[in-house]
Amino acid sequence: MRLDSTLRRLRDEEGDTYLLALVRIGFGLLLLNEAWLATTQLRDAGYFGGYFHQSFLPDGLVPSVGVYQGVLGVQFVAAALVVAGRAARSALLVAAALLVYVMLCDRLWFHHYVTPWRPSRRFSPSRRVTGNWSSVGPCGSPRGQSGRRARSARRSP
Amino acid sequence: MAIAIVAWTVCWTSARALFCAGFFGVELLLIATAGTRADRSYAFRMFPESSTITVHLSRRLDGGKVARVEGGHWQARDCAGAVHSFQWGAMVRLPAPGWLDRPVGAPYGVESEVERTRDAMRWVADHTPEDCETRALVAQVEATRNGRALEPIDVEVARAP
Repeated sequence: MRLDSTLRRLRDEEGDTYLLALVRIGFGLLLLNEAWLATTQLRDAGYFGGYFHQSFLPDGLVPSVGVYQGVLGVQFVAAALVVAGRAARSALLVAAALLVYVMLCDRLWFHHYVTPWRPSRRFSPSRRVTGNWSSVGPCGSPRGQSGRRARSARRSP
Repeated sequence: MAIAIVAWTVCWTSARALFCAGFFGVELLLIATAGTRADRSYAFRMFPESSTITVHLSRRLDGGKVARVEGGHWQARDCAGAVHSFQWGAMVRLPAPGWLDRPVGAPYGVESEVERTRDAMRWVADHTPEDCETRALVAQVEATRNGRALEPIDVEVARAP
């Protein structure tokens, strides 16, 4: 019962929202970065549907190149709204939903431990694979994959 | 503990409780069963395997003859007799096994990368309707797991007739 009341108190606690705003802006910037990485991939490697991709969805639900460009545009707008604090909750939900959708369309570009079924994506951008997988690092990992985004490696051999 | 507190707080109201129970239940199930999937998806692997695979691709032609794909490139005739060129690397790109005859990293494990190779072969087989000669794509995969060589793995994907 004490745990119960403690949890209730934590849940209903009121305070300064300054820190929350910082977190929101941080996530917004990460979402912007995610949209930028996807745009870079589209520009350098081309539309993912044009070559081998691993999709959880049937082909009919994978967006065409035009629709995909629209999705990226919406991701940019949603991320900007999150940073600006305008309709931030809705924008977070839209950005997260689009990320999940893109992951379902092609999971090749996302690390295996990313769980698409995570509504908490609303609060955390996913991690896109950007390391050079052709260049095997000392531990079999792609160079530049050690938690830090590296130069995109989307080149045809 | 912090995660539990957050989770409990989110799941506080009864309206959300059912959804949250289902959600966390599915997550736990996915994590618990990660080892049964070739690609170990939904499970975090702190340290990737120091493994590689080398894919040697061939084409099975009429009569069972096998033609090696050299340099990731081959030519085949369509059903009207016109010659077309095909490039593996243009259809399969990294981080999938986009290079043939040279090692590519398999940080998620050999099984995962072999499955990707099989999926890639199936995609290529399904997306090269101009190739009326190839009956199946055949690959021999040489693999090393954490530096130790494994038995070669044979993969064959038949094309739809």
